[in-house]
Amino acid sequence: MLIIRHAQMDTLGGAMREWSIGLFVEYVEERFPVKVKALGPTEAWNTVRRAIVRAESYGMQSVEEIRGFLDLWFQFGPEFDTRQDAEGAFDALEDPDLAADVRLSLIAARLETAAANRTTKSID
Amino acid sequence: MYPKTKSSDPVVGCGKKSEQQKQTGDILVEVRIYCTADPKRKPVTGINVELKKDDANAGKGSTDSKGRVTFSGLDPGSYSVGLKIGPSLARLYDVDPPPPAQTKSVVGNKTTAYAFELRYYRIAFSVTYPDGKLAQKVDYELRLKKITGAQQTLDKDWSSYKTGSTTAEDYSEDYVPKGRYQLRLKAVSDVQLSKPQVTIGEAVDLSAEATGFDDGTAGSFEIFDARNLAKSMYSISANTAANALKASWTPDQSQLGSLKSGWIVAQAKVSSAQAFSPELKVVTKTEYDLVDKAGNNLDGRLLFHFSGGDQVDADAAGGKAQVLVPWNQTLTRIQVPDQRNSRVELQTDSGVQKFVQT
Repeated sequence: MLIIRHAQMDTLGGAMREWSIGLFVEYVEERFPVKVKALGPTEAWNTVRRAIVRAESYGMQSVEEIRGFLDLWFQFGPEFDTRQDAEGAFDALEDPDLAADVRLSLIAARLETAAANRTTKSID
Repeated sequence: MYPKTKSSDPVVGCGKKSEQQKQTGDILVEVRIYCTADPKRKPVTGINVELKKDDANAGKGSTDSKGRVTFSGLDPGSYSVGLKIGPSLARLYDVDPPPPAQTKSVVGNKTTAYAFELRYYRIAFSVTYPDGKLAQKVDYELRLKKITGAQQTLDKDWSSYKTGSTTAEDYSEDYVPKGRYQLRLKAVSDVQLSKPQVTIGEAVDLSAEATGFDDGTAGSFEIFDARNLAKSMYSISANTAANALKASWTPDQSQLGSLKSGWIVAQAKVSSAQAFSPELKVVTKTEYDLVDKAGNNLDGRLLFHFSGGDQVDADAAGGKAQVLVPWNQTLTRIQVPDQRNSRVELQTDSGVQKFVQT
């Protein structure tokens, strides 16, 4: 599995970093074509760059982890991680007990369960 | 600490693993609780979790203080995770229907998360006055219905769950057992007198709603000067019955000896609960003899003026008029409304007081 460490990125220099951002832009273009198109190429690039920096601040280093974070970013909107959601799904991002990939896995599981409960428990 | 699968060995590259080195995966199960009124999820300790692979037991665990349990070193494959909730926890959490088991694929070198949510029960209430303000110091009793299976609910089917007194904040309690609750407010309200004013010597019925008290609980109606609520002038004992406090009162002069304002209020009291009636005017029924200049009895409508500024209409018949005289007020003059310039004056003839039309 490919791991991109921040320090390595710095060592490799700006060109390498821009290249990797491009790969992540391609990834979100495939996953969220309407949203990315609406942003336009420059803003999409800047958004992905911001999201990567934020993902790295949570200790996410691998391509898989950053992709997972981008999925959440584009699904729930920028700065989703700083919003207080009632279900507390994103609290896991800062959980020091969990590895970065486990945090993402747990967030996905929480969102899935909360959505299912919203459907089954909405009639009181 | 949970497994950090990539924390110290970041670059795997494309190296080929040895066939003997089997890759195993981990499972992280998390159980959190919430309620409708407070959707913020909280971890829950001590929930039993069962792990199954191909319908066979693959592990058991209990959630820790973070609501989590981990299963490590699992062969890749499909794993089902379910919660095992016994009767005692089933009373605290909404498990009807029980949360379904979740099945996910576990792969090597990864931690697969399973998240569960349970809804817990909460009670909340507030007691407010008609204007919306919170009513404080109202005694209450929360009662929980015992599980009897009886068709009809009798008073003995309820057991006291909690008693207390309302404060400046709404009452709420989390994690209460599932069940049917009854809130009994030990409150007195809606104090009424059966007449619009109190007449000395005439009986008047007093009543108030008194909820939450057992029948036969002692209470009272305290009669106050409406402008002086510091000390009751008179007390009438009563007992609660069918959520009401009732009494009959025939006021006399001696009971209201300290009344200055001419207006009273009745306070209904049971234990520490109390409420006041609206203000009521106190009057005395007085009969006046009325004659004209020639000594003939006066008839017809008259208007009586009193020292406090009150005016009272009364009909004279056969030279007599019964007038409801406001408390502690003296008659100042009498008008004959139909005869603009005519007045009735008090005259004393041989020691006998008479009102004579002039």
